[in-house]
Amino acid sequence: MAMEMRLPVARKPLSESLGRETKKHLVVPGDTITTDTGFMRGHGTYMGEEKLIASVAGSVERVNKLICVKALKTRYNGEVGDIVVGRITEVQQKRWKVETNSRLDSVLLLSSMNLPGGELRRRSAEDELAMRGFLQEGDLISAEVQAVFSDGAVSLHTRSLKYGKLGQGVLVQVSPSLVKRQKTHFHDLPCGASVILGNNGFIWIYPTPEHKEEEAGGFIANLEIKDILKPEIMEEIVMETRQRLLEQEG
Amino acid sequence: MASVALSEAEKVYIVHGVQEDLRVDGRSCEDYRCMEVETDVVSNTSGSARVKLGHTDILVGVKAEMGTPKLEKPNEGYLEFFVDCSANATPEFEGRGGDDLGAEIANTLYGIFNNKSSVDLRSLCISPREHCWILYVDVLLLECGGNLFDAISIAVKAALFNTRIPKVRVLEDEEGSKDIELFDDPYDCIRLSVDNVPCIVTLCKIGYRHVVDATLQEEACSLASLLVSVTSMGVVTCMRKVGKGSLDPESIFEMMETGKRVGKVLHASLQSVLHKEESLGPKRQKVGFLG
Repeated sequence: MAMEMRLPVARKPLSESLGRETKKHLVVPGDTITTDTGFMRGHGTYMGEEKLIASVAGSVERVNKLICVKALKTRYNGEVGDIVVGRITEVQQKRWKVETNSRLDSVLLLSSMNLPGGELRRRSAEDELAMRGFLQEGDLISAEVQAVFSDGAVSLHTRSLKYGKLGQGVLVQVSPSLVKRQKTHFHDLPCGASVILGNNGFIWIYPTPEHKEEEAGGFIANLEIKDILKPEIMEEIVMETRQRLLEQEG
Repeated sequence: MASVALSEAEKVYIVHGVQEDLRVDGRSCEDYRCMEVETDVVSNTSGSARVKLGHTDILVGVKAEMGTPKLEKPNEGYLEFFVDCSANATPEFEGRGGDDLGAEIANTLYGIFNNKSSVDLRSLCISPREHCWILYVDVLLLECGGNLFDAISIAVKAALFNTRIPKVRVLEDEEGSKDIELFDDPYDCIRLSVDNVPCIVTLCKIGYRHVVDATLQEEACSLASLLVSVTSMGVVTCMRKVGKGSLDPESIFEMMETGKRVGKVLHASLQSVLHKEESLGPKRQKVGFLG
């Protein structure tokens, strides 16, 4: 039985040399970025007193004549093609509302969802009544961003067998700015755990299934005890992965 | 209590893990998360403490005021508890939302201190039937990350340890009117002995086993919990069952034994941290809220 109690320790301040070493220009709100008026203002900046001032805390990015500040800690801003892990918050008439750590709830339309068995047909009234049978409030899904509405809300789709409802596992939440855009976000770790790195900062760690379920398309969550390896070892691996991710974040 | 939405599969995963004595963050069923305790963080109180237990953040302030003793106990002072669940902790506490939880926690605190030996109330008496010290203990919930009762009881104990009540003496005139006078030295004060102040250990029943120090996710999987208030000697002062599920008398007995065991270790760790902090002296660097 472990119990650790300690006195708090003050955080060490980051020295300014850190910015120079990593070649990143870090700014806080109110910092002057440049006094050169020839630049175009991007996100996170504003013009005041003949100079360009940052309005968020982050790193300055410059593309030719455009200067913008990429914030370190923000809500998730959707881009088309991103992979996200989200939680269903509401079941509405022909769609589900999904929480993805962004400013507005994302939307998953019934027509953007694969029917079980891979059928291709128009969604009928019976499908609409059976929505709660597919996805309920509180369920986790992995999906891809299909479109971004003008108000910033994101529309998702699960039109591939690798997306869909997530089964047993652990969700870890980090800041969205920590997840880089890569070619694949679905990884199988050699220790027997798999991980989905959502661009919205939701990371899903789960035991690797021994065979891919083709027909279900990710709908039927397997609620049996996973015993691919010995359960203790399997879960220990998953815990450690989660610990390491949290350490890296904080 | 603040709740977090979980899918059925996630709950099943947590329950299966607990059966194997392995929780989602790698702890065993009887491990606590890492705790940070700091006292004397609020300058205009007689004593204060801040406790951080994972994502749970509690601030307690103790103010000593003079008042009249209660009629049935004329030789003793008393403690008054007030718990403020602020909207900082979770949006559910906005407006009147946190009042119910606050009243429940305050009543639990009254219950665990409602015995002769927890705090020596006679030392709070100035003159019988006329003047006594009343300690107003205010608890502020800054962040809610599961296991509120434990963190609050630890913070209350640390704040009472830190409380400094000014020494006063009663002067009597020839006419018989009494006057209360402070001692000259402002640092001369009386301190409470907190050796018998109990701490609460919450045991949540998940599946067939019980866990100590549950996170919000684990509390969502548990239907019944037992709050056991234990002193440093292992004496149980108060016990309460919360939750809508039922508990078997056998499990209650097991959970109580676990609570006593864990409680003793908790008290030992808390004592050592508080004494270590005190040994650093008045020149120690206070971290506070901006550290």
